Amino acid sequence: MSKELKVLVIEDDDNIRRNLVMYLEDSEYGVIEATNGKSGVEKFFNEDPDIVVTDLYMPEMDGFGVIEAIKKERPDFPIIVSSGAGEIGAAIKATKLGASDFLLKPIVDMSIVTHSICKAYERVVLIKENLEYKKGLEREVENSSIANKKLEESLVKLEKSKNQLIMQKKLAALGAVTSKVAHELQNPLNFVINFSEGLEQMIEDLQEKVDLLDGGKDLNGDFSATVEAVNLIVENGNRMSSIIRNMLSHSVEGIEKINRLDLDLFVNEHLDIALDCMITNKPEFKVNIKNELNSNMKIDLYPQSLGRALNAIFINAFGEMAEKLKAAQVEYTPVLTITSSSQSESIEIKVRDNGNGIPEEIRESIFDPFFSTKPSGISTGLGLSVANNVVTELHQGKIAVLSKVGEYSEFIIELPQVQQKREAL
Amino acid sequence: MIPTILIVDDEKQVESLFKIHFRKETGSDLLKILFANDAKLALEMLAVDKHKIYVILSDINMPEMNGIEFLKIVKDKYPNIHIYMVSAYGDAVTIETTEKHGASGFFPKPVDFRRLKIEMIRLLELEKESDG
Repeated sequence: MSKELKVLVIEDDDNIRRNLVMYLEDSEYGVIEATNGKSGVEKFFNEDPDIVVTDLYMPEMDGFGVIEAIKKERPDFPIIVSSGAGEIGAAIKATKLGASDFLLKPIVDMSIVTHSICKAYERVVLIKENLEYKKGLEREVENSSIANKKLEESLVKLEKSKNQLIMQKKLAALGAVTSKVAHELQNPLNFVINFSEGLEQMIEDLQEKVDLLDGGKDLNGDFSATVEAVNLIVENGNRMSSIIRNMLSHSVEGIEKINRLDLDLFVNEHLDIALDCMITNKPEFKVNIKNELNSNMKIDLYPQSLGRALNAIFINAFGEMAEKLKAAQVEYTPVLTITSSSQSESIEIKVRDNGNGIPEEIRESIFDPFFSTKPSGISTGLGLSVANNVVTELHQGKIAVLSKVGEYSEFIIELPQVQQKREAL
Repeated sequence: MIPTILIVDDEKQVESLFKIHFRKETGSDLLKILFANDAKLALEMLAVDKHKIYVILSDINMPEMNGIEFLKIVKDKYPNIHIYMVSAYGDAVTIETTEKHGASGFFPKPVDFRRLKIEMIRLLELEKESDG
């Protein structure tokens, strides 16, 4: 033990106290004295001793009060009580209150005091070490659980980007297959259409010649039936052709690269393309465009795929409004409202039409492949399903639809601003 | 000599198709139609030049020499001949490429024969004017 260890001695009996103090000073302890409990507690808080030796029965505040006052603030602080032989019960009470040890007075062999102090102090050190050790352990557990959490997070990320890559490859493979099939079918189909058209012309020419003959008029019915049949062949051929073209327009060829582009510009460009497409097919269709593209953001996107997704959503909206316009009894102006805004880590695009809306019972099916409410020559039923895949799988975004029958449909697309770069598997 | 259109396409059916659609024009000797199943044969036919070929309609996707190569050679050797490209792959890049190399126009497959015929007759009138 060195002088650094400070002992506070609280004892009202001057003789006993002086004896104790002298002995402790001789044993190279730092000593603080107090003559009653009250001043003892004051000195305890002012002078910050390492250990307290206190008498039990004193004026002002007794030893129990001292123990209580100290333990309230420092539960592990070592306090040794000294008591007379007739006060065993009090000593036990003091121990119960948290005293570390007790000395029987009169103290005959002073070395018992230092022994008791050493023991008490060692115990404190042990408790302290134990506590630190425990804290260290807790820290380590916490650290390893943080590491675990990070590991889990990166595992989830990895899984996501793996799924994304698989989706991308699937889309590419599907694209390659559809594209191949479509091109292969288109070729013979072109002949079917062109030959049928030639046949139609030939039948008409033939009819003219037969008309000039006597009795030719009798064949009129046969000719018109034949022309009608050929007409239907041409019509169906054209329908097939437009389905194939549509399928081609939904297939992505090859694996696309991420591009960081101005979102508002990008959406606007695709709106223009869809508008052009609509006006070419239906010149009579007029739509009022409310442009509220205000995200002012550059985001990571797959331009070809997202372009297709947007196109499908625009074409769907135009189609809805064209249908409503066709059936409209009262004055109706198609209005397309397109909004974009930036969130903290994503952007949101809203495309709202004031068409017929989507009935509740089919709202869940609209993103299914080959689901369509329109005749197959007009729609392949692939557009929205591709849009869904492109948004949710490829871009890891979200797509939802709100609608009120007879009033509106609104597609809400949420896209992350940043795409994880992924390495090829 | 009858004004002649040369069709270049590796699909043999194309020949029947044009014969049917231009039946009247060829029957009345207004036009003559020649066919070549590949670009090399077409170049040989042009070199002989005993026909009055004023228009060529060429497919783009053909084995050996493709339509674009063919187009370049024709425009180099016979700049006065109008050459139109015909293809099922009517994307903007393809069309731009053919125009850059001097094609007079592009017809996507299936061919709109009404439009094609109008264009052929229009060229024929121009030809007559320049001849006269």
